[in-house]
Amino acid sequence: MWMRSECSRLSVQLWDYAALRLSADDTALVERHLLQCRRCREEAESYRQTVGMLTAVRRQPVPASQSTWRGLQARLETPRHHPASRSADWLPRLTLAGAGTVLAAMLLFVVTGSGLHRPASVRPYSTESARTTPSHEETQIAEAKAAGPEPSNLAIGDIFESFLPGQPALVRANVEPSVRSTVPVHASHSRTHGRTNHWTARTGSVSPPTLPSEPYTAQLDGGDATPNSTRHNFVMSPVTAQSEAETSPHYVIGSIPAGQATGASTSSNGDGSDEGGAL
Amino acid sequence: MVIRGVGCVVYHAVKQEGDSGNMIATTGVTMPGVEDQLVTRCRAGDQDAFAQVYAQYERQVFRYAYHLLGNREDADDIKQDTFLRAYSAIKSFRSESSLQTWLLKICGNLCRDRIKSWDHRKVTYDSTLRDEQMGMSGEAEDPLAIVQRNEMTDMIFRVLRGMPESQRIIIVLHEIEDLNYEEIAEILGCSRTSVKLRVFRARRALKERVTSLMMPRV
Repeated sequence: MWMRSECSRLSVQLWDYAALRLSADDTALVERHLLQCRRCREEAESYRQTVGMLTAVRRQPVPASQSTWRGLQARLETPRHHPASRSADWLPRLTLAGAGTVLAAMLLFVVTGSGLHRPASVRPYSTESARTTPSHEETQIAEAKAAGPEPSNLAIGDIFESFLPGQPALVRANVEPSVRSTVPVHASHSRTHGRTNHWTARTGSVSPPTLPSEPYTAQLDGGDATPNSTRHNFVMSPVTAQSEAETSPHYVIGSIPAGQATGASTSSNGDGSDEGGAL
Repeated sequence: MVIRGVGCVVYHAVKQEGDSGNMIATTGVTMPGVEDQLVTRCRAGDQDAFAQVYAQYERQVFRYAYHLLGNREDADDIKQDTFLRAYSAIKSFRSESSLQTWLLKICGNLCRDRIKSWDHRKVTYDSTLRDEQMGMSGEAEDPLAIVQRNEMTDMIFRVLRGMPESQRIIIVLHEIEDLNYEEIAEILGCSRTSVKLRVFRARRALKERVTSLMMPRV
C-alpha cells in the first residue's frame, strides 16, 4: 500500500527524472524508489527512451521556409486577400451559389418535367446483383443514409450530395444515357471557422472512359483555385432504377470513408497506407 | 545565446545543441516596452514595424506549423496566413499576452482548420526532406548519428501522427518548442493547472505509444 502511493506520487516526476530536470534531492528520492520498485524502473526506462527521441526531434533541423517577407508584403497590399475580409467575401459567394442552384433547379424542372416530383423512397443504387449481396458501395451508402438526410429530388445531369462534417458523403448522380464522357459534379464542402460554417462550392467532373459496369474510383477535385481546395474520393457505380418508369441509368457516388479505401481506391493525398488514429 | 538587434527590437535567440545553421528552436523575447512600441506602430499601419515582427517570429511560427502539419508546403502557407491574419487583427491585440503566444495561437487555429479541411487525410510527415536536411548540415556530423537521429525523429513523428490533436499540440508546444506552462496556457486559453495536467497526460500517452511501437512483435 505504501509502495503503491509512492509509485503514484513519483510517477509524475519520472519524465523530469528521465530528462535530467530534477533537483539532486528529488533525483535521489526517485532513484531510491526505483531500486525497490521494478514496475517504476521499467516505466522510467520507457520515459527515458521517449525523452531521448524527443531530444532527437529537437535537434533535427526543420527545413527552411520558402516564403518570404516580400511575398507576404505583396499579399498585404492586396486587400481582398486579407483573411479578416473573408467574412465579407463569403456572403456574396453564398448568395451567388444559392442563386445558381435555384436557377439550375428551375431549368431542370423545365427540361425534365417530372424531375422534381420523384418519390423520396426511390432506391436508385440497387442493382440486380446487389439485391442479393450488398456491395461495398451499398454498405457505405447505407451508413451515409443513417448519418444524414437523404436527398429526395434527383434530376438528370445533376448530382446531389448530402453529408455532415465528419460523416461519409453521399452523392447521387442521375445521368442521361447520352452522357458518356464527362459527368459534371457540383458539391458543397463545409469548413468550420470558430462558430461559423463556411460553405464552399466545389465543381469538377468525373470522366469515365465508358459507362462502367463495375464500380470504380474517380477523384473529384475542387474546381476553384483556393489554397484550401479539397479533394474528395468518390466511388462511382452504375445502378438500375427501382421504378419501372425510370429507364435512365442512375449513378451512385459515395465518398470513401477513412480506413475503408480498398482496391482501386486511393486516398486524397496519395498515400492510402496511413496508419494511426484519425485526428 | 545570440544577441541580435532588428531595428528597435532586441531579442535573443536560444539556439539549442545541434544547431547546424538550419532552423532550430528559437525563442524570440522582445523587451516589453519595445514590443509595445512595435505593436503601436503596427496598429498605425507601419509595415516596417510589421516586417520586424515577421523577422522575429516567422521561424518559430513556421516551425510550430511544420511540427503540427508535417510538411513544408502547408507549414509555409500557414505561416504566411498567420501573419496576414495578425496584420489584419493587430488592432484587436490587447497586449494581454506576448506577441509570440498570440501568433502561435493564430497559427495553431489555422493549423486546426487546415487539418479539418483535409477531411479523411491524416497528418503525414515529410520523409523526403531527410536527404535535403542532411545536405544542409554545414558542420561535419557523424553520419551514423544523423541516421540514428532521423530514425528516432521518424518514429516520434509516426507516434505524434497517431495521437489526438490536442495531445499533439501539447507535446509540440512543451517538448519540442520548449514553451513553459504559462505560455501554453495563453496559447490554449486555459489555466496553468490545466496545462500541467494536459502535459502529464500527453507525456504518458506518448510514452505508452513509443513503448508499444518499440515492443518486439510476437
